[in-house]
Amino acid sequence: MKSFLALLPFLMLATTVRAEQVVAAISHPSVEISSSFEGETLTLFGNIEGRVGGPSPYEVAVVVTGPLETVTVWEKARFFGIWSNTEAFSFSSVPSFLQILSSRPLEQIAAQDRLLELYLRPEAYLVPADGGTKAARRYGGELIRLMREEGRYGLRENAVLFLSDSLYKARLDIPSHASPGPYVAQTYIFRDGEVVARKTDGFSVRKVGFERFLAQASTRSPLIYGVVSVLLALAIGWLGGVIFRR
Amino acid sequence: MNIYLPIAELSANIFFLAGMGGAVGFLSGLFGVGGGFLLTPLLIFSGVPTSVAVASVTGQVVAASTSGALTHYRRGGVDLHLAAYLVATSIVGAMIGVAVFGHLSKTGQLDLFIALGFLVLLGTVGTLMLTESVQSLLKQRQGVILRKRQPSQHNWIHGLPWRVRFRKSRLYISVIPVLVIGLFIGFVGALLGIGGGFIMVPALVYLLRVPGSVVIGTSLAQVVAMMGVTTILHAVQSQSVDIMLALSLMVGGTIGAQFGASAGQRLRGEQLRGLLALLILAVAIRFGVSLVIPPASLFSLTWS
Repeated sequence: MKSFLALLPFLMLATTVRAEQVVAAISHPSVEISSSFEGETLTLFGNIEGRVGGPSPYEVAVVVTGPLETVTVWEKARFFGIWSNTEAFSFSSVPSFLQILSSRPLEQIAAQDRLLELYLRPEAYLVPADGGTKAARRYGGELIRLMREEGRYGLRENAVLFLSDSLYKARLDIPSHASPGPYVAQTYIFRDGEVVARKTDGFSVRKVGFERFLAQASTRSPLIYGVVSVLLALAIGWLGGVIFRR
Repeated sequence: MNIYLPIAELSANIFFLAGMGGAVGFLSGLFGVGGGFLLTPLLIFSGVPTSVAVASVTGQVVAASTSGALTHYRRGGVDLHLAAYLVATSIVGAMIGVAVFGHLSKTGQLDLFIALGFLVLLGTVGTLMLTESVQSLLKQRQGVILRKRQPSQHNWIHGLPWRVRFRKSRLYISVIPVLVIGLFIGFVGALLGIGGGFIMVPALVYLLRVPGSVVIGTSLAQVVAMMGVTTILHAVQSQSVDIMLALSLMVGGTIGAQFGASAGQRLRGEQLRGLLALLILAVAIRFGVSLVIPPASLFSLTWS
């Protein structure tokens, strides 16, 4: 309460003076998957404008999410001596990619509840706000762990670097197995534990050229795709026989 | 150099894939088998999603069997009449196999059933082949002259109704065992991504008494037709045929098979069969171990 009273003059000042704004951008508007795609590194950068400068520094947290998917977590158990999937728990609308980048350890930036509210915690995407069932928490935890192991989820609390008091940048690695689709980068500027500015940016990960053609053909006209695959196999088999015939 | 696999949605080293195709192609040329039973497990163990591995190897098997089938056809080593009967029911079997495949993958049991399938199938075939080749090697060492079983001998299978004359195979037999063999191979082939030559050849020789001159050619022709149809079925049903993956494997496999075939001419039949049996058993054991040892993680994810 005491600290709140101490802050009061500044807060009042903040409302009278123009509030902060963040101008943010991403180095690539889209990540293109071609035959030689091995992942991509993007740079997110931004500038905090308005009433810059003050008693405490700005902190930045960016959450980048990939296309939403339905993911099932399977649990194995021994069944007649054989390990098999026995229990399952499905989560709908789970981001296939989730990276949280920040300029400081998140718990030093804002309170836990606030982080959950802003979806700056992976759990926020899986478990309802009331905490959900015990199973949801348990399987949700495993989902996050497995996604981390696959390099899809990550938390890097020193990824956002300040180049000046207001100018920052962050590196974002898109792995080669990232799902194609729309990606969203939500940027929050914090000061004293509260969000003072926010911005949403987007980019897309998409297959281009021949890879795009193949992926579309396999889903839009699977019969033709299958027939062409077989003809190709027959041709290669025949050609191999012709070339190497002795 | 990496290549992006558009259906598997991952990037893999092209030399690794072609090398794997080449190594398996070498073995398949050496032993005269399709190699699907090695390639599918290898892809699964190296991180390719099971459904993509099975469906793409199915395409690869078509390429691997085509040149052999053509060579045998030119030499008159294919009984098209018999192959047609086998293909007809193997397509029905493949349809059932692909449907079961889709159901298992939806209910999260695909990996388990593929591992079980390989364990039972390869374990049985490998054990039978190993005992047979060890026995014949031992007898040869003792100086016993082996009397080959007469292929014209009849057994109860030949007495079943609906007899058909297969001229090229010089057989007048019931079509029931022919149709059953086709159905079984079609089902197993679609489920496990294998051509099934190592089941088809013994079945034709020991059950139907098909003469040696047409066994391999007929089996290969049947594999080409069956796996061609299965590839299309997988493409339509699970959409998991990765043509870039299949192509990388085909190129390596076609080259490897040529070297394997010439190396195979320097080894004796019994030795070859013994080595192949050991290889088959090794894959079976690998699957068996993966089923019984506690997994590294009790949890896994599937996407839909």
